[in-house]
Amino acid sequence: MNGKNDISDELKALSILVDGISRQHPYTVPAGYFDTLAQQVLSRIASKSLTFTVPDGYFDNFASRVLDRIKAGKGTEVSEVFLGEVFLGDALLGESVQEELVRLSATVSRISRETPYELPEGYFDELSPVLTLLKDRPTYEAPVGYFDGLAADATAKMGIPVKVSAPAKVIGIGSRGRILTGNWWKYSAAAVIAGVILTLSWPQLHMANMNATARAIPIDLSNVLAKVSDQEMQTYLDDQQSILSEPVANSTANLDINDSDVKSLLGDVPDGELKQYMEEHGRANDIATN
Amino acid sequence: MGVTIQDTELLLQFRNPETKEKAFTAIIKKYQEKLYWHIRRMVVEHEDANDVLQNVFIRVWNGLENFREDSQLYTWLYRIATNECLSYLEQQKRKSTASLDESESGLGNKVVADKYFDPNKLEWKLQLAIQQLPDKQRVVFTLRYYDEMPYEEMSRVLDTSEGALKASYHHAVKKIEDYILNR
Repeated sequence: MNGKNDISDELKALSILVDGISRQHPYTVPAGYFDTLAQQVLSRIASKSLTFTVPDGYFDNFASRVLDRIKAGKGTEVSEVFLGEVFLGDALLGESVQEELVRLSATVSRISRETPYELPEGYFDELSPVLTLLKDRPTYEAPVGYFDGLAADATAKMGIPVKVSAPAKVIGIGSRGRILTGNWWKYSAAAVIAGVILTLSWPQLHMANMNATARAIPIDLSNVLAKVSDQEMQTYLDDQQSILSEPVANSTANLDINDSDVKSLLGDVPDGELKQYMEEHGRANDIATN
Repeated sequence: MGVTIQDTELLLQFRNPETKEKAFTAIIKKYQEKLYWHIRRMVVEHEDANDVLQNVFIRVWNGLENFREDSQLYTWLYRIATNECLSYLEQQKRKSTASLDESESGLGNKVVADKYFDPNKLEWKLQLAIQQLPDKQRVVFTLRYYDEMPYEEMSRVLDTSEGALKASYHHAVKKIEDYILNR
């Protein structure tokens, strides 16, 4: 067996001395010990009783016993039954409250259980006598006429003008004769005066707007130029001339375009159109055909 | 593996109330000697070994229905036997500490007290050397030396890593050698 050899090799490597010792047990076993061991164990198992025992069939009848007691009207006494089982023993099983009381005190058990106190009639008929009394009684009251003026007060507080439903004022048109004989001349005089004022003030207002820009820059050019020397003026004019004589940056004269560029640029233009263009705008020998 | 199939069959029979006792008797017959010697090497005296062995089989009777077969029955039985041995030895130590009388309860003394003890025989000296080992180291040594149990299986029996078991066995052999050479 491979495992056996491994174990022997391992032991040899660890200690030749120990490996050399016989593995035979020096201990002895009583004769026939193993023949009877199984029987001994089984008999011990059979005789080994549980620490707590219950009578045979105890749990089979337990539920039905409890139910029988409940059905017999002793439901409220079930807990007492259990207490009896646990704390008082079998002798007290099924003992009713009265029986228990007799056992504990014969004197007390003879006293009537009726209470001596009395209640108003029908007290328990209602859920709560207090609520019954107060049910129809209004708890809060509003001042008289409070709701009549409530809308007007609310709108006034919100700043909304109240539409008074009073009768509308009727303005009489009056007779034609009254108008003519009334204050008509006052209105006519006022209209004439207003027209005169407007006519006179219009040109003034218009001219004022026209001169506003000129008046905004009050420079007297003649005085300024008088202070400039002739040399400075000459230098200024020369500078302006040199700026104007410089070539414009985006002019085609500055572009370095050769014949091949022209061909590629005008490649898509038909020859007829180019001829027509040169006849109109240039000389015939300038045409570079495709 | 033939043995495993037989164990499975025995377990099935044990779960049947009609064949339960018969199956249990078969299990005892099959493993009694292996377990007895495993226990005897630990507790030395036959009477103690008998008590422990019977307790082991009573535990087996109580727990075999719940045996989940995650491991082999053989491994499970050795595990119970080892635990029962260690509990028994612990109990004995507590008793001897309480009585302050180590001369009677010491395992070496029990070896010497055996009626067949011969101090000139190396086998007996080996037994004395084994009894000097700490309890758990003694279990490892006897399982390996006498029962030739692979470390893997021993790991399942003792719930200890194989590396730890190897180291323990190595130390045990060295201690035994030292005992035999120097005593």
